[in-house]
Amino acid sequence: MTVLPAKGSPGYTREPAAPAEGLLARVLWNPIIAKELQTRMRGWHSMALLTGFLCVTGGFGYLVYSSAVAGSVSVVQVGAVGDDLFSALAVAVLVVIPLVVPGLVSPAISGEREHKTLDLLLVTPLHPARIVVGKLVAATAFVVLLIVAAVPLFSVAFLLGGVALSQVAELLCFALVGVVCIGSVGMFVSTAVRHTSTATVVAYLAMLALVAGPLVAGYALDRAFDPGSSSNGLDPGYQALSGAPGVVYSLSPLVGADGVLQNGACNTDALSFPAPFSGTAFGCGSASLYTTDLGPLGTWRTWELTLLAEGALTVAALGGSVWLLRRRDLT
Amino acid sequence: MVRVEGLTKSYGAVKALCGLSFEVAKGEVFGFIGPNGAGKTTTLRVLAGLCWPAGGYVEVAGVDVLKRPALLKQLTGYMPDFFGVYGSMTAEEYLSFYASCYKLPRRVAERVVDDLLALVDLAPKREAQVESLSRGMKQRLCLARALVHDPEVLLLDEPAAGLDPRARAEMRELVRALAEMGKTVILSSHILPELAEMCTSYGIIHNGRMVLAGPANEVLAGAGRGRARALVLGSIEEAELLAGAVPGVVSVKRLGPDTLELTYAGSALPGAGMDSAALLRSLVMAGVAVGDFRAEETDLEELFLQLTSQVTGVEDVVGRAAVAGGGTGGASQPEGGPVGVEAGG
Repeated sequence: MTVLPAKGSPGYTREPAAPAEGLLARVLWNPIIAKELQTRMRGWHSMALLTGFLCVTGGFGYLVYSSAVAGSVSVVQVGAVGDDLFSALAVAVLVVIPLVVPGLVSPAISGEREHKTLDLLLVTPLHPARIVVGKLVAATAFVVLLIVAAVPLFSVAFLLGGVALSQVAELLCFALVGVVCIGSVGMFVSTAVRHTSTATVVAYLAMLALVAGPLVAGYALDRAFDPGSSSNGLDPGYQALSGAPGVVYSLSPLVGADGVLQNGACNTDALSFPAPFSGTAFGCGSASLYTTDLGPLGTWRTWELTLLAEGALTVAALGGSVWLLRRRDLT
Repeated sequence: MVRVEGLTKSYGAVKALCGLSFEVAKGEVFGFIGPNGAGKTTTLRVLAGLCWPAGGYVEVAGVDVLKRPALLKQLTGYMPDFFGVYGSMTAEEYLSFYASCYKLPRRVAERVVDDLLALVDLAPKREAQVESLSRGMKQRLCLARALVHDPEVLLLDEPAAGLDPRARAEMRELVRALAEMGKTVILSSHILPELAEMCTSYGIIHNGRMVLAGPANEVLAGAGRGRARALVLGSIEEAELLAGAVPGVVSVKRLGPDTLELTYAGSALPGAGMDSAALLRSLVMAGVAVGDFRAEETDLEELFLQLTSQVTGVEDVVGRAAVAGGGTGGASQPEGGPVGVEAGG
């Protein structure tokens, strides 16, 4: 057996600690990200999933394009085809987020706890916040990769026209914030729940509540504010998502996604909402239907409100995760 | 090097530590002994910074670690009793990851990983996936992980648990090598003969309190009860009665038609004042016809059983040990520290 020379002995060659690093390097330092990416991206699974996702999304886009150009398409109508294609691809990308992110994030902390590796992380100088953020970044990195890899598919929609660059930027921004938000909620669940299987179920339920909760709450508020409205729940004459119901509706990523796709000009009805929401406030209509009047705070687009709500939820969920990690695993 | 005073910790209504106190000097291999639920793991977790005590004082290398927990993580290396590994990483990647957690520069980390793999005899397995390693190898790898930042104090919770004899021997060698390197090692184990071969001092913990602590020889010689076997000539019944009446003899047991086993208070205990020679003299003076006499050494296992099997017995021994012990050698019960054991545990 080889034995290390004792500290202070002639053979001892351990070097001093690294010189002081810059502030940015210290802030960004997170060995968990590198380690997780190294192990997650190893092997053929990740590449196979990425390839499969792009094939399915591309195939879906091709189907939409084929059906749109099945009849004779005039030059004027080509823009609408491009818009249809953009919406279809966007939906494909946006659907992946709530389906995949909770499943990827929920084992992040609960899995470490189950596999008895969490203690070994907590005895290192890594702050619990760094562990939480590192795990979140690593777990969501693959979804971000899927989203970014799908961007070239949108270039086909550009070729056809009808889509502005700002629309793509807004979509990407919305998608990435959605990934982080749902991931943060999943991280909180993973920290709070001991077992991975339970954490996964709870994370998907939390995601469902995040999407559907505001719709139900908004609908209830809507009825409370205007009990004489039509049977479909929203007054057809509703000109803007104003007041409390409008704000509550906007908290749903589904409404925000619709707002991004419509981009204030309702050319298509990409997300067809079921009754009582269909064809009314955020299904199709004028630009004003995708804005919310917040009085002195001005008029906000619905997806901007969604992003704001998601940002606040992200901060709360990550803060809660760090607090839980310190309270439950370091006490 | 390590000083713990009046450490208390509760999990709900359960008191895990009730004023635990002990000291471990630099370079000692301190064996933590106690039955399940005695508070060994909780103590080690507190020392590792994984657990916050309700009260008390913990000092490692002169630093109040409850006030400076970040420094504690640099000073201690912890190996839990049950631990997991990142199976898909190679042994080298595994250690490199933890080296990066301690912010070792890449070049330094590479050298440290090489040294540690050599130290734990895993250099040939550096490219092997961790999940493919045997239990003993994983245990050694985890020990290497605990050493990656060159800590002053190593906290090993049941380091030999679940290992086969060969792997246990390797682990024992490793702990000895670390002690020779100047590391202070605090380890817990249920395998008492194992501890007896490794440790330079012991602490016996029961119901969250330190029952007895001190250098190995003093603990074994002074705190327990001696045993001796006497071959008697003549009537065994009469010899049994006479021997039982000798002051200092705790119990007399008949082992055969002419053999008695005598348990007596240890020689290092002031007041008890008896060693095997004194016992033999007392027996002869009491009129016991002794044909052969042999003193038996108290081993760690026996001492452990004596101290933890019954509360009254523990209190008795603890009371005497508290008088006898105190400030001799590296690991000792701090002066004024609580040493009693709560009844009903």
